[in-house]
Amino acid sequence: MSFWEDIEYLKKLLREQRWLLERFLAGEMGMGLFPETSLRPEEPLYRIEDLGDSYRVIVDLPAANPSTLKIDVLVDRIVIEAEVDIERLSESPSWTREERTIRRYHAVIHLPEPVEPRKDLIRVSRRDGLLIIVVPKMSG
Amino acid sequence: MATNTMRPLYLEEVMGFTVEEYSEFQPGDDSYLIVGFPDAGLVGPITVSYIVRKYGMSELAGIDNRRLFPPVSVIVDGRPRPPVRVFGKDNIYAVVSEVPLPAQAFFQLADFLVEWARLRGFRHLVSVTGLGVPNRLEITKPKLYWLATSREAEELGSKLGGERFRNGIIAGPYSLLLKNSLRRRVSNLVVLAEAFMDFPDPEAASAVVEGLNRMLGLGVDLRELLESAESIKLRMKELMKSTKPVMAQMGKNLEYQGPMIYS
Repeated sequence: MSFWEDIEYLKKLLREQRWLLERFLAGEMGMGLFPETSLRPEEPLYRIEDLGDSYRVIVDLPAANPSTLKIDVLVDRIVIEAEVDIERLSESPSWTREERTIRRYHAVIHLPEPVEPRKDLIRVSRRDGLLIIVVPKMSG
Repeated sequence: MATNTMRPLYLEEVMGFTVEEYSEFQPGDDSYLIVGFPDAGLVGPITVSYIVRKYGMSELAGIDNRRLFPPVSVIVDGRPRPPVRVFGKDNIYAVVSEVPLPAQAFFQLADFLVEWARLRGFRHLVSVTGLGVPNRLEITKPKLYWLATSREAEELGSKLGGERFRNGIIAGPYSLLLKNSLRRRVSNLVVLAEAFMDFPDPEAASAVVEGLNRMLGLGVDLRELLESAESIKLRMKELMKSTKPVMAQMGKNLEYQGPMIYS
């Protein structure tokens, strides 16, 4: 990895550390450190598919706001964060009380084998509320 | 049909299951009981919930089992109801579970349901579910398949607009319903839509509703189902999470492979 890639990777780790600290403070000690993330996040449904030389990770993020979507691909895991688009959901005829409690998604998806966390090798697409990430396995 | 009451009008015990009936109803010669249990893509519960609402069915009965079902009451307009509920309008009836049931419960529930349908006089069971396909992501319009246990059910299946399921494996609650129906000579049409195995799949449910519209002339508008797809997926997320281990226990992943011996 180049110097700048190392820096980028460190930033990803710091984001994850920040989230873990927040979860600890909010969940275990009942206090939020960062007001914008103080709502309890929801773990989305996901599936990992082995495509041979790469993994395809499919994450179900219904009503997620694409502008809030953060994807961090690390060597052994993928960290995903997104906020639920409450306004868009409110327009839905079957909008119910239960749905209002979900405001934010957060997932740490552990991969079975190490992957190449290089941006230029990772493919991301979205379809019908699904997030599809294809990431190559680490060679050698 | 009489007004829905807080307390059941009739209480009946069938094969260890308690059936509470809240309204008078008598299925006729041309009656259909649509079954929607949590399974691949939650196609059954999504389809049945949508039809109940859009076709304007009223709640007629509830099914409980103190030993097998979780200690859950579904509260509807302040009324406590058992986890499995029965709805109906005209000659179309529906039974649905919107709460997760343990794998063990399905063995006896499938037995009971087929027997109760026979005793209560439902002419046909129409069991709707998803067929987990590994390439679902590449499919824009899920295909329908059907299986029938009687000649009449075969005729119904031919109106569905899908293909007969010829070779493959069906696992889970619907395989039990299929086998029990065959044994007890109950007419059962199993409708399967290509679906995600482990994500709620409103698109697959819309393919089923479209097929049932053709077959039964329901005239249910599909637009809202597709427009609310993301909201439905969000609401069904927890049910899907708790259904996944149940599907694994019932060997659902076997559906991905075909039978090894073709005759």
